[in-house]
Amino acid sequence: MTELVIKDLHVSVEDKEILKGLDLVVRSNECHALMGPNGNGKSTLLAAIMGNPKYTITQGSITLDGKDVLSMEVDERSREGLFLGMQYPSEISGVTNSDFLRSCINARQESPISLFRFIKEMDKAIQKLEMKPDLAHRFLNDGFSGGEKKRNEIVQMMMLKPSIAMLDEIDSGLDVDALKIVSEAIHDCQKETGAGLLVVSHYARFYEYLNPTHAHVLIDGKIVVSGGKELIEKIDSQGYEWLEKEYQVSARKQEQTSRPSSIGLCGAKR
Amino acid sequence: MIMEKRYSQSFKETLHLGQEEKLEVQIDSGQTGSLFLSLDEGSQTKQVHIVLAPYAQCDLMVYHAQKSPIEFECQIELQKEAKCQMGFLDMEEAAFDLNLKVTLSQEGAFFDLLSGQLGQSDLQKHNTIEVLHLAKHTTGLMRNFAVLLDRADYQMVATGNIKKGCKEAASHQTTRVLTLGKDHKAKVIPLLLIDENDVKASHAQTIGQPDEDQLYYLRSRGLTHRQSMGLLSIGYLLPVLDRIKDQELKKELQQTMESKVGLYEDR
Repeated sequence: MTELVIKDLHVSVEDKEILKGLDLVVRSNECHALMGPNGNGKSTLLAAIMGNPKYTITQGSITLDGKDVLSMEVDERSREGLFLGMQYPSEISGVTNSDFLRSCINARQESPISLFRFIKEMDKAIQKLEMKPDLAHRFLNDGFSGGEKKRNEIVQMMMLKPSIAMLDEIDSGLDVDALKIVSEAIHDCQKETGAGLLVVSHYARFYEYLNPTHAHVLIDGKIVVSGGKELIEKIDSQGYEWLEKEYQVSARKQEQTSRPSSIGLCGAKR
Repeated sequence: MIMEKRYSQSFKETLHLGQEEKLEVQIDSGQTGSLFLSLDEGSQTKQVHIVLAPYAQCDLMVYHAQKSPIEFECQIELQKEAKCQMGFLDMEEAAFDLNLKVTLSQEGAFFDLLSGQLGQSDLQKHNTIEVLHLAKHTTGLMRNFAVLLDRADYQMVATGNIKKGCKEAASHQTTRVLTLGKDHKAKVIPLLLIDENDVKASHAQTIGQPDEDQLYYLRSRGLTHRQSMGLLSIGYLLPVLDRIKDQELKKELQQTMESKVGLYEDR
């Protein structure tokens, strides 16, 4: 039984506090749905747990089976069993998916994985996600469509077998059929490994497939309410406004980033 | 000592240039084949002169395997419609000085270079490459990749030289340098000397550190900082191995490459 415990977590980005005292416990075989309006800290939470250097922990603790996660480097956290399926996975040209995954698997075990076993497991994951067979030989996310990138994140999850998997809007960019395929793969992976899941999504359909055991709403850096599937259904039908009234919180509005305006004619060539 | 080779029929050969200071290769008209040239321990200066007669084709791979400093001078002449695809790989912990001159002497000659160098700590890797176009419809391509570690000193002066009258000649070059260490020096000078109007020519170069998001992504999958850097280095150097036709040798060199860039460290 693995247990990820987050206590009184405060996280800042560039001196701006995003998470303001968050508590959460995720255990093996559980599936936690994390919802909330855009810009209120959901992705920040997952990135902070994974150790993204852009985020600064100013207060609180994160432990994995009692071990202090915050004192670990990013790669140590991964080898300890944490996984983050990212919203915007990086593209890395020149590094093939198979070389990358083989290196990642070898980094977490004493002796290298046999080529036969690696190919077998990779083929199984590729088939499960219904991806093109040449995935192994393609460069990591390079030239992938949005949907392919998301499926590839789940291929990696299946191969690395984490004990706690966090998925950050992994359903965005997926069509209806792909959403079902990805959901089933996540289900199967959890069934096989007993992983605990922490899933960020805006869509009830995805949660219907995943069948979460817990649901939480994160507003202005704090979890304001937790519950079960009924909470997801209510938010799907009524939105977040009722929460602001009932719990007297105010959702942080996303800042409009100012975009440079075109003057129409410009002598400089692009 | 001089080693001489003449290929009058199709060929596939590995040549070791050790104590010999000079290698002369003649590939006869219409002959095709592949040469793997290993620069082994021995003389400090090595010279290679290769002539491809009309319609000859050669896949040439030069591999630096000498652990002491080396000055390597290579001259290649391509005659009518001759074609040479050259790979060059240098990952040794030894200073290297390359002087490569390719002469496209007759119409339709084609030369394509793909080079990869790992600039180990405190070492100098200096390269001067010139592709000289002396005839119409000739093509010279250069793609150079380098990965630099602490205090490495890398220099690439690559010249595409198209003389007057070489109509519809093409000269393209790219140099990409990935800097992984501190206090390194990287100097890339692309030169296009063109004395003819009807040509196509281009150059591009990048020198920079790895992207922080890429590093974070790799590390979030369990790779250490060193291993992540290694994997990014592989991305720069690996394409050169595609120039090797022998699959066993290719696999062996890939393992050597993975080891040298630190992929097996910290396991």
